Amino acid sequence: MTAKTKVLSLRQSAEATPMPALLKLLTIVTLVGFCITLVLGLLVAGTDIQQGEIQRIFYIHMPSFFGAFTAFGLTVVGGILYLWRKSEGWDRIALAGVEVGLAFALINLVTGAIWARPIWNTWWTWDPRLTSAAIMALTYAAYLMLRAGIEDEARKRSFMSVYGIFAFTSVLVTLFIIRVVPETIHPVIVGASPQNAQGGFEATSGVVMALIPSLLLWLTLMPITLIWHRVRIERRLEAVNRLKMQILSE
Amino acid sequence: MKTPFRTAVLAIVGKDLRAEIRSRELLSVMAIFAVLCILVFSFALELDRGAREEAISGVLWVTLVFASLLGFNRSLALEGDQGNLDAMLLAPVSRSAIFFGKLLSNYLFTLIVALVILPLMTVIYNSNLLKGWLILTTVVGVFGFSSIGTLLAMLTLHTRSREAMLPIAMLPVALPLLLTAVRASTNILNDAPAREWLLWLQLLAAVTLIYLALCWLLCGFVLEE
Amino acid sequence: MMRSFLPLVSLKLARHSTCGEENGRNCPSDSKKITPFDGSRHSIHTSFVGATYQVARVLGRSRWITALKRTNGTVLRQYRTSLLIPILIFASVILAQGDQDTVPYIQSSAFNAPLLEGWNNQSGDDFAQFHSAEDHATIRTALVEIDEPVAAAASDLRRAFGFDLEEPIYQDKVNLADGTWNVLLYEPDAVASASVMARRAGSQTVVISFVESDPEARILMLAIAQTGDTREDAATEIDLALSLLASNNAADLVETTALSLPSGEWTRVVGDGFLAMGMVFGNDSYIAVGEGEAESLPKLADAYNRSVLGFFVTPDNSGYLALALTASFAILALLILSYFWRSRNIQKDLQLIESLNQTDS
Repeated sequence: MTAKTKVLSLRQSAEATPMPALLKLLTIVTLVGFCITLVLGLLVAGTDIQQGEIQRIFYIHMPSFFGAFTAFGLTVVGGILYLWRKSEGWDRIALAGVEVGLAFALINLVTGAIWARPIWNTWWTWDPRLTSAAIMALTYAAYLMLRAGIEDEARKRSFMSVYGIFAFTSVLVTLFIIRVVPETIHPVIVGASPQNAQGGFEATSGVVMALIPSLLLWLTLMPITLIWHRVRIERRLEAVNRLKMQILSE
Repeated sequence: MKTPFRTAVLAIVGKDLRAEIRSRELLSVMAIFAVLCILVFSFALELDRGAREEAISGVLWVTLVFASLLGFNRSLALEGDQGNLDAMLLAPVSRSAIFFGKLLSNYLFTLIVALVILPLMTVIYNSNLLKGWLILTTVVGVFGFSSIGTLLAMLTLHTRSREAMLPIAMLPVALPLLLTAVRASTNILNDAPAREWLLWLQLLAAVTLIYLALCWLLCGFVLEE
Repeated sequence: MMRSFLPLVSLKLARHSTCGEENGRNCPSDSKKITPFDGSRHSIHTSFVGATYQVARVLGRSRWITALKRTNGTVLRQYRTSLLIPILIFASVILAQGDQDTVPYIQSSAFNAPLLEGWNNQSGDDFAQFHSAEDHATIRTALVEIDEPVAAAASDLRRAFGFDLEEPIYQDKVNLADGTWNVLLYEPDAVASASVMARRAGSQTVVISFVESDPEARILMLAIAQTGDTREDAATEIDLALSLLASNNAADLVETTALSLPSGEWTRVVGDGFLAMGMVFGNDSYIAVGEGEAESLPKLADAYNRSVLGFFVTPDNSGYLALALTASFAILALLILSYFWRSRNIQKDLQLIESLNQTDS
């Protein structure tokens, strides 16, 4: 390929392309679903008479963790498939998964802290689950820092795939830590709460009714839609960067 | 034709040991750092008798992790800076042999440091750390740290500011190891019955094995040119 | 999607009403800490699996996907599709609303009081009141706009029952989990007696009163703090209460039995001409004393103490909810804005490259 045609093709892939129909559909369904879950959680579900209005944040707090779980899970999948197939697309999915998952993990942490203030009377406590959730977020912040620190493109992709696979252990630790470290005060809504959990509430049918749609939305549609959009931007970004290199080298 | 796996691993371990015997660069740094760490902790935490029993396994593991971080960084940096790693990659040995060679030598050095600080802590903190099960926990836990640490040190070798990157990359990933190791050793130190710590020791061994398997699967990708 | 699995979940959960008498829990004494979710754990699991299965089945059959494949996006342009959205919202709102929690509570704007089943509910907007004609008894919970508990209690009793009160015959204070309560006993006239618990709540006072006007009996209820290091048993505490009320004497005790009621484990003693009940809960003892024909004492004591122990105020923390929602939206908005920002930067870079190319050639 001559330099000229290469520049042309790079420029073409850096241009914004129209959204595929499926992505359009996904975006609309996600937006509508998000509104529905908000209506269900904020207006339709009854107020918890023990905790008051703040209990409603649970319809975002728990789903956002599972959204992060999906996003970070896609990072693992993307990493494994990149190492296997060496196709850049998988690495883009892995990177997008980290960014989206990190945003979700932050939402999870922040909503948890704001909930804890009226219920536990403290913004933050060094509880095993809170600590591991914070470390999970830090792990993926470290991912982004590491990624920014590696210059060689191919090396960056395969190294970060490896790190993305290892980083998932922090997600698993957060998920399972209440099963192995019993002295947490974090309540479990589905399943048996630890003895000393504080601020649990009953998963009545009203709660479940508002929770399940929200959980399904954050678990599937939200991360997938956001990751897809991010992947499309990353593809253009890479093309622009290569275009710059190409022009500079001419 | 490739050098057999075992020969290659042993050759790399032998090379590291010989270099260490001649320069005494790595072990002395790690050991002095570990001893300092223990002393600093005992001042900083103002450990009285009660607090000591609670904190001692935490101090042990944090010291070991920091000392090993120092060692891994140093040992890989030596390879990288002098072009040793590239030479090894050119040699007809498998990637995993290089990884396991570095892993074993890192493990040996960290283990030596651990075996130095265990009696030292016994003396300084006036609490018997030389228990068979605790030593076993240390042997297993340090292996887990060494495997993940060696892999991540190879990974951060090519990053900007690699000395800062290794702790950032390794500490969160090593959390499951740290958690189980501290749990097991606290209970062993407090003479708790076996059912209270055997599970933690088993979990530690399981996590170590999982990490070892992951490292073995993934080291090939980290050791590319 | 939503239509297909929501009924399934609600069916599974419908039989797990919250305060489950069927599994032998006693609601009111538990209700300070709403019962942790345990009995329905299994069915949540099964309904999760069931719901997932249903969704998968619907998706598998769904014409959406096949239509989408076939029409390559034109399905979006069909207005019929957009009709689905309000239907979906409507259906889920209806479904969720039809199945709210079933905590047996009277919820006023300011507080929550347990619903007493079998009593005549005379509650108004700002008070909960239950009356039993056969026992000549009334249990009332109200919030009074006076911040001095004794005056507030007198004012509420005057307003509700027309009593003209003089000094209480007994007065003390106890510390419960939600604050310091004044315990007041009145005997406004020959037949009526009023037992009151009152606690300050901001600039107001919560008054929970038990009023009885049975000519055949005289019934008083009170809570006493357990002082000292050892916790006394209920019989000793009844003894203490009797001596405090200076009515009867422990030497008259004839028979002691244990009694399990929804409000807790009670001890009942029968004496010469009187009946007394006591329950030790937390650091306090709850005592009921009946003189004369007081056979209904267990029912009354149970109902009153359920009202006392089950009373609580829903905290107002909607400010925190607003803060949490704002924070969540801000993070999401930042993520999405970063997409636009990066996309715009790409566009700028492309234009720059374009202009450089043009100046070159």
